[in-house]
This record gives sequence, structure tokens and C-alpha cells, in this order.
Amino acid sequence: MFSIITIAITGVLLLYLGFLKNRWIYISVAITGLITALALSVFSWNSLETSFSNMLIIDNYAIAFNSVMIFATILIFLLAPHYFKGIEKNVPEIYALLMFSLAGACMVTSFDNLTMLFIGIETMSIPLYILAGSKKFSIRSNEASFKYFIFSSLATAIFLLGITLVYGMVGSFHVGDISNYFTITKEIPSILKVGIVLLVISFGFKIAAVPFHFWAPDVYEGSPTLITAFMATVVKIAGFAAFYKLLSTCFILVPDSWHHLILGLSVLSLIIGNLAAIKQKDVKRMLAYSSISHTGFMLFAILSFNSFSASSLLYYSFAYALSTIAAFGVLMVVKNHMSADGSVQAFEGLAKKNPILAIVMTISMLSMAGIPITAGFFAKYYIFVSAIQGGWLWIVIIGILAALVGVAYYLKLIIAMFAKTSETEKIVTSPLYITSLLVATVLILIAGVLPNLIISLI
Amino acid sequence: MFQNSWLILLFPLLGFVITGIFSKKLTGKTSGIIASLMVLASFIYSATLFFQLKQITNSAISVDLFNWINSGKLSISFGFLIDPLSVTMMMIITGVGFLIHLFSMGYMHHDERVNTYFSQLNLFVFSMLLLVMSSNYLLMFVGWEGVGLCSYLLIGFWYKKNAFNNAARKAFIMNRIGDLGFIIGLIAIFTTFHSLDFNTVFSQSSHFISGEAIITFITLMLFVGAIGKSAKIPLFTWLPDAMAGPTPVSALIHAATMVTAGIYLVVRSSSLFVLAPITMDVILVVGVTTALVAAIIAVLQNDIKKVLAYSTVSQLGIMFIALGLGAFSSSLFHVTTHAFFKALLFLGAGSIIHSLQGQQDIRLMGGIRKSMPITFITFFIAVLAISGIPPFSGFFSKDEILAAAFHSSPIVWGLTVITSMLTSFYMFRLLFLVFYGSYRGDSKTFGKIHESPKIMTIPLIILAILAFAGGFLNIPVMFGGTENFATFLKPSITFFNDYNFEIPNHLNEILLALGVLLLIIVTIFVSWYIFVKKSVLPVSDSTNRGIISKFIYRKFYFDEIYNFFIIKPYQWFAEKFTSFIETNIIDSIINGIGSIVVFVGNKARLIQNGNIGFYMFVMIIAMISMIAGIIWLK
Amino acid sequence: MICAKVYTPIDYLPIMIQSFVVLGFVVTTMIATHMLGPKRNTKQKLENFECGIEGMGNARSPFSVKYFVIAILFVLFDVEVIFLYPWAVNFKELGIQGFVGVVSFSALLLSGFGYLMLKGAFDWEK
Repeated sequence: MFSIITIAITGVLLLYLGFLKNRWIYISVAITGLITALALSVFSWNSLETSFSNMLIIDNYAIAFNSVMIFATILIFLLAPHYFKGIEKNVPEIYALLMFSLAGACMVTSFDNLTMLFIGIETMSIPLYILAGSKKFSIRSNEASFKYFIFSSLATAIFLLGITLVYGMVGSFHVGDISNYFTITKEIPSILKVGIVLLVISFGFKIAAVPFHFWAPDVYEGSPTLITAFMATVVKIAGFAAFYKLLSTCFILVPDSWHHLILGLSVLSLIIGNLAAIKQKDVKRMLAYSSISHTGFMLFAILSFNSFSASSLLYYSFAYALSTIAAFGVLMVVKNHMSADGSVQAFEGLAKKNPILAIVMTISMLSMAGIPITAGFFAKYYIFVSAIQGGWLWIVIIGILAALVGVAYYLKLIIAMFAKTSETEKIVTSPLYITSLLVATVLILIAGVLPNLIISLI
Repeated sequence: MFQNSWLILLFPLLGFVITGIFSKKLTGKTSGIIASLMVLASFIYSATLFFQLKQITNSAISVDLFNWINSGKLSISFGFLIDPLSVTMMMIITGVGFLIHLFSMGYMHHDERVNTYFSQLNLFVFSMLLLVMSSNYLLMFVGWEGVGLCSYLLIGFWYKKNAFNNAARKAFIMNRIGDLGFIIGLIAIFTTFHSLDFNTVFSQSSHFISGEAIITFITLMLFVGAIGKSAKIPLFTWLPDAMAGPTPVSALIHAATMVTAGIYLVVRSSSLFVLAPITMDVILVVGVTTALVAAIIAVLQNDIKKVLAYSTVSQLGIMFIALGLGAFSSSLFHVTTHAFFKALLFLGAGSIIHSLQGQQDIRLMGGIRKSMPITFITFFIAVLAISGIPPFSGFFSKDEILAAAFHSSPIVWGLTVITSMLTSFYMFRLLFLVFYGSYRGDSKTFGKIHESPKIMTIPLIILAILAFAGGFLNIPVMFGGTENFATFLKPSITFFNDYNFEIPNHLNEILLALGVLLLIIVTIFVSWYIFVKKSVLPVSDSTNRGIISKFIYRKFYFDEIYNFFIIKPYQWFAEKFTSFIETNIIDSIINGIGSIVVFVGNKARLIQNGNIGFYMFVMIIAMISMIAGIIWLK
Repeated sequence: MICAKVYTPIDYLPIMIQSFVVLGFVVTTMIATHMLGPKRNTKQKLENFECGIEGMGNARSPFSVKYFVIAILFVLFDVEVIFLYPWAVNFKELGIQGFVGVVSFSALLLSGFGYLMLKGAFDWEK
């Protein structure tokens, strides 16, 4: 609770600090605020807290996901000063909006009431419409903002309709009441089923699962890369945490009405995400499709509700956030250096010029592909184990095949960095920037060697 | 103190990381000092643990750091087992390892990749420590593999010579064959005991009766692992080839640490092995054959390091004889003394090679005892120790094994005595040919022969003291001792139910020892007569040899047999597979799948056409069909 | 309270009829006016944004949004004030906690206002 308040207040503070026109002040305030929030979040471990008349419930599940998201944001903020170098205007506003969005994300994971979930999702999304278009004079950025706004509004409308239908049948927004309803009622009216389907569909939009993914590649490609990194990690994780919590607490007793949908979303995301990624020339777009395929994997956890799936989802989120931030971090500087050319060719010869960047990128690619001793391996492993325990062997086989296809395009980048050469100059980065990338990389390796540190949390 | 025993592992790991990362920046001297200090720190910590452990009566302490792997039924903790056995091994590894590090600082100072060398040496010590400290088979296997990897790296350290690379690969492949056995053993242990933790496995092993098939299978598989790592027949041929690495590496890998891993494995699993008499017999037979065959081969070798290598194989055979007899602590005692004198021999050989500018052929040495007095004296002590002359350390350890052998079977005893006689024969042959007589090499180099620098001679001196006094650790009862070593180790080892720790009749034993001693002294005299009095020289390679002599000189044709029966057919198959199955069938399938995927991917990409209207259309269609599906389809 | 009654889709029939009627009316009207009204299409009349002045330049060029900004800000703050009414009505019942809540709410609102002032959102001239 206090960690969410801290994040929000830091956001407000940043708006005012913007008048000082000193980029080091606001970045340090932002990071201090985030670290305080992270500490507050971690220290409230094991202390169950409900607030706002049971609208929010901060349990270990919420704390774990919140901490991952706050940590991911810290890493993103460490990348920010270098990314915004030379841009003076509106940077503190961008920081503040990121903060507000994060506060919303933290609310999303800890809802105990569907209205709170709605408020959280909106708080998280609205700043992103602006952030996606924050490169004011880039047409792609404007397009991204516009598309994101349109599709998000559609999702919101569907989500509200879903809540309404559920409320109409159950008579309460409260999570506990909804799950009680299903223990009492045996025959579920089909209007309620429609409500559940609409909720699933709206989350399908949020987490970019095929066939509701169409906005994602365009928006990810068009938005400023830093914002894309935020959207691909924090927003997605929040969406997943809420999705999992919603289905596991409210609708666990009526799997008939959503199980097949999740199955379809998962299989389609795996297939379309991986296949479409293979021929992409732009790395950012490729990462967008890879993010869609990760959605497919993460849906396994929701498919196979058991004691293990929440922790496997948490581990996957952590591993995915680290590798994504590392990958986008490297992409950002490379793209900047190559005068906005983010294609695979831009990475050629990176291993010679900037070995550290190349190694960071390699490890993050290996982690995304699920190669051992990176976190990505155990992420996939645990999520597969969870699915097998739930009896979904055939879908795990599809998952493994999809992961194999995935290796192809992840390796393409590694080959470009190591096997090819180019004449371009060395890329100059700041120490803070490298620190963030190295922290992410080292954590990928640590989590890959000692998965139990995270997997045994919840 | 015990809880923090992970520090022992941390030091060499740190050394590896530091010298590895800064290998371009550090000078050879600095990295040598860092690496040596790290191992020294580990040694000091191990020694402290040793003294603490002696105070405690219930002397097996498990230290669980954290839960390492948790998957289904498999639960493995990252933990250490600190008991007399592991502490003894830790002290040998770090103690001898430290001296070898010191020696290396002198030996390797001119090498251009000296930092990499020290980094790998530290990694080696780390892996070996992990092997002996771990509290379960899986973690032990990690160390086991690490040792295999480091030996590969270090044997092939001078990678520019192709022959050295081949030697490294040979070592690695031979080890892999053994590892396969180890892995099968691990799986069998897990399916039988549902755990890989030492304490759990050993406490459950009492539920099995002696000779049960599954236990025999497990122990045989573990023994296959031990065969690979400890270089026994039939997987011993890698060890002599492994002399390609720098000489201190030979001392570290092939005398003090790596090859003892197999023995450690058997002793650690003693409570399983005592339940499998068949396996014990197999060990005994393999041990005796190896000891004898290697000793015979060593007699005709002309490369100073090859002689020592075969002597190692032979000594390891003797240790396995002790294991096969169930005399686990005697075997470990021999490991300890052998670590001292064999390390000393290798380092001495290193000192000689260093001073002779890389010359290794003993036919081109001779008469250098004047110019290298310290090397000569220490080498001489080591030769006395390995030959088993009292009161040098080798006497006590070998005597224990002989006594145990005599107790169970006179044939084994007889063969072991013959091995010992051969050992003293070829060791003194080596000593006489290298240090006595006149110099036979290039006369230009003779003037340059010099005693090695202090950094190399000090380890020699320390090791010489240990090789001399190491035997006093475990003075048998018959000489008025208390068998400290064996008593200390007793809690870690399970013995046969009817195994007799004390031999009642001391008089017999003393007589036996004296008899063997007499035989050995006669052998030494014969050796002296042939090589000093008559100054017979080994014939050069071009001379025709008799059939038996040729048979022995070519190492019983082991390499040729392997080449003909395994490598050639394998290569034939491999070639056929490449030319036919690989290119025609597999490639076309793989490439076909690949191009189909790429083709479909290219089409899938086009769905994303950027048109919001189209996107919306597809999404709405999907939504409607989902709702319809949920309502109407069950 | 009303006891829970299970609704079946058939109960929504009136609503459905109503929506059909409404939709039908709108569509019919639109089609009817389209058909009935006289059409004289000239080049000028078919132009985008036809208003009597010649169209020129790019539609994407930035233009001043000052008025809209101020209008939207007015709506924003105006709507937030609605929260004060229920508080005022229940002032006694909510007590000191309610007071603190409203004060912090107003403070946040004010800080937003202050931010806008400092940012120059109300400077009409600039």
C-alpha cells in the first residue's frame, strides 16, 4: 500500500522538479523513490494487508509481482538519462507518467474488487497513450499512440461490459463474493458465461495474445524504445498477474467457460508469434513478435492451475523482464548510433566494437530462447512442468516446437554480432547505462543457476 | 566455522575469476601470487577445520547452503559434508596444490599465457574441492565434470602443438566413458534410494542385504566412473599421454588430485561397496592387473615423465587392490603418502626438465647430481619413499596394503610384491640414469645446467620432508604406533562386517615386512648393478628389440588395439553416415522443415498490414466466434 | 431485499425489441433523408471542409490548442468538485477521517493546478 503511495507521490514530485531543469536531480529522485517503494514492498512480505474497504489486498502474490515490476522500472530508469540525452523538453513529465503507470500496475496486481481492477488498468494505460506518442514529431510514434489508444479503448469497453454482466448475475464486484457465487450456483446462466468470455478477451488485448495482438507490433515498433521496454515488461507482467489472479480466484470453479479460450490464445500466440518473428528485419519488431510468443508460454501457467503455476509465472515474468530490458537497452544505443536503423544489419560486428554490449545482448537472447544457465531456461522448464502436471502434454509439445523456431531468430542476431564485421565506430555509452545492463545480465545468470531463490517464494 | 566452509571453495573460485578476467592486464608474477594465496587461504581454512573436527566426537557435519534443484521428486541441496574423509582430501588437495602453485610460479614464468595457466589451475583446485566437499552425488558430479574439463584445458595448455591437443582430447574422451558409468550409477541410485544425498543413501543402504543385484549394478557403474578418472585398465591410456601438459600440471592432475577422485568415490560410497562382493572382486582384479601391467611397461620407458606416469598408474592399481580388499583407510593412506612423493617426483622432474631446456629423454641425461644438489636429494628421498624403504612414508602405506593382501589371498600378495619390486627397480633405474654416470646429452647444454630458483626448490624441500615423515601419520600397532590416521578416518568409512581392523599376530607381520624389504633391497642392488656398475644404457628407438621387449616397450599395444577395434570401425561408420545419411536424408529433412517454417513465417508476417480497420475486423470476428463457441459448444 | 431471480435470455426480449426499434428508426431516417433530399454536387461542394474559403496547406500542420486545453482543464476541475458535495452532506458522519481525506484530495488537486500554472498552461498570450 505504502509502496504504491510512494510511487504516486514521487510522480507528482517529479512534475514539480521538472522546473529545476537539471536532469540529474529528477533521475536521482525518481530512482530514490523507486528504491524506497521496492523496500517498502519487500518489507511488507508476509503481512497481509487490505485497504480501501477491501478494494485492495496486498498479499505475497501481489508483493512478489509488484517487486518484480518496480525492479524492472528501476532498470529502465537507469537507462533513461542516456536515452534522453540532448532532449531537454518534457523529460520529467515522461518520468512522472511512467511513475503513474507503474502505480496503476501495482494496483492491478493487488485488486480485490473488479472496480479496483478497472481503475488500476486505466491508471496504468492512460499515461501510456501519451508516452507512446511522446516523440511528438515522429509519425510512427503518433501512429503508435493512436493505435494503442483505439485498441485499448476497445479493450476497456469490452472489459467494462464483462464486469457489468458478471455484476448483473452475481450482484457484487467483490472477488470473494464472486467465487462464493460459483460454489452455491450449479447451473451457470449463459449471460454470465458471456461476461467471463468478455473479461478473458479484454485481457487478451492487454497481454497481446493472438488474435488480439494486432496492435502490439505496430505500437511496439512506433513507440520510443524506452517506452516499448516499459510496455513489454511492466505492463505485460501486470496484465498477466491480474489475469491469473482473476481466473484463479473468481472463476476457478467454472473452467468450462474459459479454459478452451486460453488454450486457443496460447497455441495461436505461440504459432503466429514465432512464425511472424522469423522473417522480421527490424529488431524491435522482431522483439515485439517474440513478446507475443512469450505470451503464449506464460498462458501455460493459467492453463494449468496448480500449486506450482503461480510461482512458475512469477519466475517467467522475472526472467522475461530482465532479458527484455537488456535486449531493448542494447537495441536503444545501437539504433541511436546507426542513425535510427534498428535492423539486424545494424548489429553486425558489435562483438568487435562493443564486446560488453554484445555479451549482454547474447545472454539476453539466449535467455529468451531458453538456453540453460540463463534464467530463460528454467522459466520455460518450470512453466512446462506446471503444464505437464496439469495434464497438458500435447500443448507442451507445441510449446517446445515453438521454442525451437524461436531459437532461429534469436540466433540470427547473435550471428550478426559475432560472425559479421562492419566499419562503424565504437558506441559510446554512460556508466549508469552499462550498470543497468550488467545488473540485468548478471541477474539472468544468477537466476539461471539458482532458480530456487525465486521459485520458492510463492 | 563449519557453516562457513563454503569459503574454502570461494577462494580458488575468486582466484580463477580474478586471474581469468584480468588475464590481459596482470603480470605473470602477480597472478601467480594471487592464485597461490587463494589456495593457501583454502588450505589454512581446511587445516582449521581439521583441528576442529578432531575435537568433535560425532564428526560428520552437513552444511546445507540452500536448496539447489527442486523438481518433482528430485530435491537436491547445495551442501557440503565435512567429515574426516573430506577434510583429509581437502588438506591434500589444497596443501599439495599450494606447493604446486608455488613451483609453477618459477616453472611457468616465461610462458606467454601464464595468467590463463594460473586461472585454470585455480579452477582445477576449485572443482576438485567441490568434488570432495559435496554432500550429494549430483554436486559431486559437477565437481567431477569440472575436474575433467580442467584436465582437458591444462593438458592441452600448449595448444599450438597438435599432438598435445590430441592428448587432451584423449583424456577427455576416456574420462567421458567413465562419466557415462557414473551417470548411470547416479540414476540407479536415485531410482533405488529416491535421493542422491550421501547421508540418506548410506543410512538406507543398511536395508539391503549383501550381494543384492541392484547394489552390485550401482557399485559397478560407479566403479566404471572411477576407472575412467583414476586411469585403470582398460581406460588408462590417457594418463601417460596426458604428460603433454606442463609438468606442474602433471604433478597436480596425475599425482595428487584428479586420479584420486576415483578412489575417493569408492571410499565415500564404501557402505554401498561392502554390500557388493562381486564388485569388490572386480576392483581387486582390475587393481592387480593394472598395477602389474603398468609396472612392467614403466621398466622400459625412456621419457622421464612417462616413467612417472606409468608408476602413477601402477601405484593407483595398488590403491585399488586395497579398496578391493576392503582396506579403505589403507588405500586412502596410500593416496596421502603417494600425493607427497609423487608430487615431489613430478616437481623434481619438472625442475630437471626446466634446467635441461625441455629435454625429457633419460637417455640424454645423466650425471647431473652435482649441478642440481637439492633436486637430487629430494628426488632421492621420493624414490626411497615410493620404493618402500623404512622409515620413508611409502613403506608404511604399502606395508599396510601388503598385510591386508596377505590376510585375504597369497596370490594377490605375491603379485603386489612383484609390483613393488618392479617399482623399486624402475624408479632406481630412473634415478641412476638421470643423476649418475656421465652426461650423455648435447655438451653445449651441459654447462647451462643449474639448480632451479628458490621458488621451485622450496616446494621440493617441503614435499621431501612430507614424503619422509608422512608415514608417521599412521604408525602401525606392531611398531608401537596408534594408527592415528585410520582411527581418524574410521567414522567416515563402512567396513566389511568381518573385516579385521587389528591383525592379532604382530610377529608374522613384522617378518613379512622384513621379507618384502629384503626383496626390494635386492632389486635395488640389481638395478644399481645394471645401471651404475655396468652402465647399461637403454637402447635407442631404432634398434631391433626382442618380441617381449618390443611388446612391453609398445605398452602392450593397448593404443593399437583400441585403434584397430574401436576407432577404425567407428570412423568407418562415421564416414558412411556423413556421406550418405547425413547429406541425403537428415539434411534434406532439416532444411525442408526449415524452409517450410520460413515460408509460412513470411506469409504470417503479411497479416500485419497496418490497417486498423482490418485489425478490428479480425478481432471482432474472433470475439464473436469465441462467445458463440462458449455458449453453444460444450 | 429482492430475492435472487435467475434471468434467462428470454427476459431480455423487451430490451432487444426496443433496441431494434431504435436502431431501425435511426437507420430508416438516415436512408430516407438521403433519398428524399435534392442533391446538386459541384466541385466546390465536394471539397473537404468546404466553408467558402480556399483550402490550402497540409492538414497535419500544428495549430494552437490553447482554447481546448483551457476548456478541458475547466471540465476536469469542475468534475472533481462534484466529490465535495457528498462529503459536505455527510460531513458529521464522516468526521475527522473524512475531513483529512477531502483535504488531501483537494491538496492533490491544487498541486495539479499549481503545476499547470507553473507550466504556463493558462498563459493565453504565449
